[in-house]
Amino acid sequence: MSGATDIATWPAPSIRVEPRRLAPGETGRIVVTLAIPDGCHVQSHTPKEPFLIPTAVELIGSDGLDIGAASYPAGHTERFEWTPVELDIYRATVEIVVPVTASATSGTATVTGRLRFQGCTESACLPPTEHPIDARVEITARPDGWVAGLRVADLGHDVAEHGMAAIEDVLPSFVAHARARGVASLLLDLLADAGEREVARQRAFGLVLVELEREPCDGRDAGTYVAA
Amino acid sequence: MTTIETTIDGSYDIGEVVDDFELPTIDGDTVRLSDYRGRPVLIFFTTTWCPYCSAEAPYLEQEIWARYRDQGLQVLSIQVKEGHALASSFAEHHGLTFPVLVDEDGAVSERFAPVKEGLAPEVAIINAHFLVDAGGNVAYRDFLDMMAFDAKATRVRAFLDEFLGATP
Repeated sequence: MSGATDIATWPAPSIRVEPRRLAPGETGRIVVTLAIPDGCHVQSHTPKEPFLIPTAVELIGSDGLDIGAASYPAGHTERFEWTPVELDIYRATVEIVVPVTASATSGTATVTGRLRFQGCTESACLPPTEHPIDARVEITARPDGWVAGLRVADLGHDVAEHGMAAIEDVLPSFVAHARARGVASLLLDLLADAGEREVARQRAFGLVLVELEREPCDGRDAGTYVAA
Repeated sequence: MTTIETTIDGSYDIGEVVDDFELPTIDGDTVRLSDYRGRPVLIFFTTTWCPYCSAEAPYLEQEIWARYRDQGLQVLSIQVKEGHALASSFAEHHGLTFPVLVDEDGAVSERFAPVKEGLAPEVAIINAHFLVDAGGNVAYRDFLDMMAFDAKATRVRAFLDEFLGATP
């Protein structure tokens, strides 16, 4: 394949916790993303041939966090001309999602573990690889509005780190959460003096307000924050 | 992420004498290359997790070992940095009847490995074939070419046809 990158080692996976803060009893998720370089592939979670190494995430949570079963994307069945057996592989980007539930009332829970996989480049089959996973989840027993405010801060952080597209998936569920609790005004109070990454936070907050039907707060409407 | 460049430096050249080595087999025996001095030996480097190796294994058994053993050829498979249990399961799954050697620390395989910058020798050697002649010299070698992978080992077979036909 022209333009492909040949590699000797795999790029490290990215790990993110959504949301970064959980209320007691709440379930979030840990997303493990592996970006597979162009022209390369790794075995899926369900390779069809014996002895091939399935892509797998193994996580252990500290006290206060329950780890659920990982969800894997379906593999891509591909036939190579050199073998009569179809291979079940991943190409491009793979996202593995592991649900986590806060069982503590407060504190910081840690998640450790590994992502294991095996894949091939255009010139070599690289040996089975393990990447460590280390993440932290804050468990915050706060009123709904406070938690929602922290979520907006998280959204703002994600916007700053990854751009607007990073929050598109989680925005609807957050808006539903905020709408159900009528916390828009409280959100504004909590974030009025946002310091670090203020613009990104306000931009995320503006999007939330837009989704909440442009609910005015303290005399300012969502457009103010979107513009910011 | 590191890019790689390939040369075939570092490996045995055609005509070069192969150093003797000793490895355990999955059957619990010990095999030395010199045990086969006086007859040609085809060595195939493999692992259990490599899909290319799995694809080629049946052809090694049926199209090379079964076809050429009566002409004096010895086939050896070397499992690179694998343990006995997996190597044994792999051989059983593919019905391999030639000796399967276990190079658990990869030291023997490393001597045969080409230089692929950034790539460990035990990876660079996977799916390579070496034909060692009756005198212990390299008569043929090839390394994995994934863009033109030869699962049926036709290039090796073509060479064997000529080599064994010409060997008294």
